[in-house]
Amino acid sequence: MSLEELLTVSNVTKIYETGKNKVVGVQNISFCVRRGEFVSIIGHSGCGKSTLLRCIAGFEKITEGSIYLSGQKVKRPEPNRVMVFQGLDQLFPWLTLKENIIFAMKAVDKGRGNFAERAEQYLELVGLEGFGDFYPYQLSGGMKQRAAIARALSVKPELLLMDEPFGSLDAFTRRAMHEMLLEVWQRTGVTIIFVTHDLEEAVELSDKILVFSKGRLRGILENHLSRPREKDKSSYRSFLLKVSNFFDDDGRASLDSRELPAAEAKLAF
Amino acid sequence: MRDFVSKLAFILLLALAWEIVRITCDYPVLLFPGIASIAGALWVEKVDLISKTLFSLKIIGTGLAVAVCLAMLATFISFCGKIFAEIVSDLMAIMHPLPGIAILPVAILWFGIGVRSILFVVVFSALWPLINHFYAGFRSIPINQLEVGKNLGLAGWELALKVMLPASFPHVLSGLRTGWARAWQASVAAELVFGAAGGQGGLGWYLYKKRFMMETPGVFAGMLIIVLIGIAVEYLIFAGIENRTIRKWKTIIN
Repeated sequence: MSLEELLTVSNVTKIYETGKNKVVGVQNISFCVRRGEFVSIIGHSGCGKSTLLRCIAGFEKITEGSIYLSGQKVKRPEPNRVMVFQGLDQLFPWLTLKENIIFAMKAVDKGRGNFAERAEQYLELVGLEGFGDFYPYQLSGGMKQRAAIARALSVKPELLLMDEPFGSLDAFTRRAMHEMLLEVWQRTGVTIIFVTHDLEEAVELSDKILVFSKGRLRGILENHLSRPREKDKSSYRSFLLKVSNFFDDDGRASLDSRELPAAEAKLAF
Repeated sequence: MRDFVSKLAFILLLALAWEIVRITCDYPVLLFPGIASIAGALWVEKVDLISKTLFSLKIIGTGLAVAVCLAMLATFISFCGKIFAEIVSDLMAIMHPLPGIAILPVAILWFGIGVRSILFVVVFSALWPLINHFYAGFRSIPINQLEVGKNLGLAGWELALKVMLPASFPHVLSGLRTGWARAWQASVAAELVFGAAGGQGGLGWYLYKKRFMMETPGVFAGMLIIVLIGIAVEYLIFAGIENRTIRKWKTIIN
């Protein structure tokens, strides 16, 4: 794995102003992501993890701080970092799967090319070969998310942003999606930031886990478990326990940021 | 086919009811002509009816095309900034309740009696319901789809045409249906009230003349044509578009 820094998030604060009220989305977040890494962001719902992801995508303007992707400042949404959403309505319902992918490739790469053939390859990558002519409504939730991932990858992003992409799926489908995603990650070498509230999902998938609570980054955990990860191994169980120890009974990360600033909260296992 | 047969049966039933009422209640022929005399009028007047129909369709088609372009433009503009959205929605609030026929006197002052005045009224009548539907449609598209479009680097016109328009197509289509109906109503009403200039006129003018001459079967024949065109456009054009788009994509229920 290369050690090149791809994404640098420094001192990012996002404050929502609704009339007179100011609501803190995320506060003073700093971390970096290396090229090819699989990073998970976990936390209680409403902890700001999705907000941060939307800031990295460029959907939200940050109030303070800066975000750089390979040396370029992030200002607006761009196809070098593509978001996959949780919702099952992100595919364009008026286009078939293949057309959805071709739409994305054409929007980004205005030139001519053999889009149809490449679209087929991306469908194959996520295990949807033969479904190119189906409309989104004809697919199950899992297949829709696979197609959304294929579409996102088809524009060759440097960074794939995933906002609880499997949150609407059942446990069985989710397991299959994890396998698929890991395979896709290994085959394409794309860098992934994956937001989830499922600790086990984060432990199973990622190299690095960012723990969020109340809009702050409480800790960064390096996950050195060897792949493929076996759930019944004791090292897996103990790492999972360590991650879950970050959260007290009400589900919020318990480390106090004053005692342990984010930069120092980096724990190695 | 079954659909067609059942619709035909329904129309025949209506015609039968008409005849029963006419015969049992013994209304004067001048007020309540029989099916046979209406059919007779249709046959005798066929050349005149066809030319009047074509004239009306031309005005309505042109007016609707202009209104659709203006409505699209207004909708896109209102997404360019909050101030534009407010201007468009204020204009809507002022203009939408105003019947198209009510601005005909002004149109006549501005454009004189003739095709241009009627065209103006047709555009005005179709425009506001079109904007209303397009705007509602654009505002109700799934946010994820909009953000996917933005994420791919689309913005402005490209985003509007490639993402927002198809995503809001159920609303766009119902807007077109309303706009089409309003355009018809406006063109017929304008000619009924103010007639036509230079012997040129559409079906409204035809109805006006027939009523004036007390040729009641002709009045009904003209009305029948309007209804038939409405049915034809619904089943041949709108239903066709619906089947090829939102029904195929399942972005509507049913």
